[in-house]
Amino acid sequence: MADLVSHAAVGVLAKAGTKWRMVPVFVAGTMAPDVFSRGPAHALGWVHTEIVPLPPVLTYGWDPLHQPLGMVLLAYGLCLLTPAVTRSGVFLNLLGGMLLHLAVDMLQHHYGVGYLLGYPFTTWAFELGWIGSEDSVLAAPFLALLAAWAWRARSRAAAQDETA
Amino acid sequence: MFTDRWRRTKLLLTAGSILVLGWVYTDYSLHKPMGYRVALASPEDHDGAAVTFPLWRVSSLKGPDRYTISRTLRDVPVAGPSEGLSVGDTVSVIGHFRASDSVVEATECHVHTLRPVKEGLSLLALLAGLLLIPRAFAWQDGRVVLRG
Repeated sequence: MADLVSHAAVGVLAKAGTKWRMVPVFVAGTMAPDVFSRGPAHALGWVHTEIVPLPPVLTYGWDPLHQPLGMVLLAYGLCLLTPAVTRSGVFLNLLGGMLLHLAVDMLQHHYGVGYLLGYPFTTWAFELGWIGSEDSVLAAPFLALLAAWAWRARSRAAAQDETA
Repeated sequence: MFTDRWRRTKLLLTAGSILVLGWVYTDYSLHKPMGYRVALASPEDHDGAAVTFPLWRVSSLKGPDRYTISRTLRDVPVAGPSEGLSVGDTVSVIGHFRASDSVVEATECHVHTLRPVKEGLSLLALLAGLLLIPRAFAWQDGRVVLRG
């Protein structure tokens, strides 16, 4: 995974090139795979190694939420928590953000361990391996500044459109 | 698919599907043909097998040529130079399984020095996201609604 600052910033920049709608939902989508998958796995992995051994499902079982099928299920489950009138838009924006997250992560190199893009239908793993797994840290400050500028500019433009 | 009809049933089915997927993936991870856990189950069959440990944590230093790493398994023994390593470092180890003592003979060990910075940035983004949630979303009539 790239760091969450980079993921969120890339989400804002991608959204800035489209209609400025449901931006928080899309950005939440760019963060969701790490929040729902890597976060719990990391925390419980620490408990497993430092405090008390846990059943493997508690350390491995979160991974599918960082894979396409798990992302579809997660986006659908979350969109069901919103009103029906906005539900399809929320689903598409969440899923779009999640897939963008996966695309950014696939740029990284993990020493031959790629991402399972078709699981559970295939165990074929893939990553582009163009950047190191921590290289996003170097780009994060610039991406964050650029995203803040884009957010401000697009929000202003959207507000002017509404008043016109 | 996006209507309120059978909403609770759809929520339960989706949550159930996620649980099943997690369970199936765990089973796959524990039994996939390559890996240290499988090699441990039948050491003689996997002597010399290639094993990779991406982004594991150094859990102890046993000497100049021996250390252990942990993540989904605790304290996997690694034979390889430990000079420059510290407990808590994140490393990616590539090597071969040695059946006689279940040790990983490391051929490569990459230290991820920027890992703490990356985790710090992610934590920062998470906290910022949590602080901004009330500005973007609200709870109304049992549903999450978008503000604005």
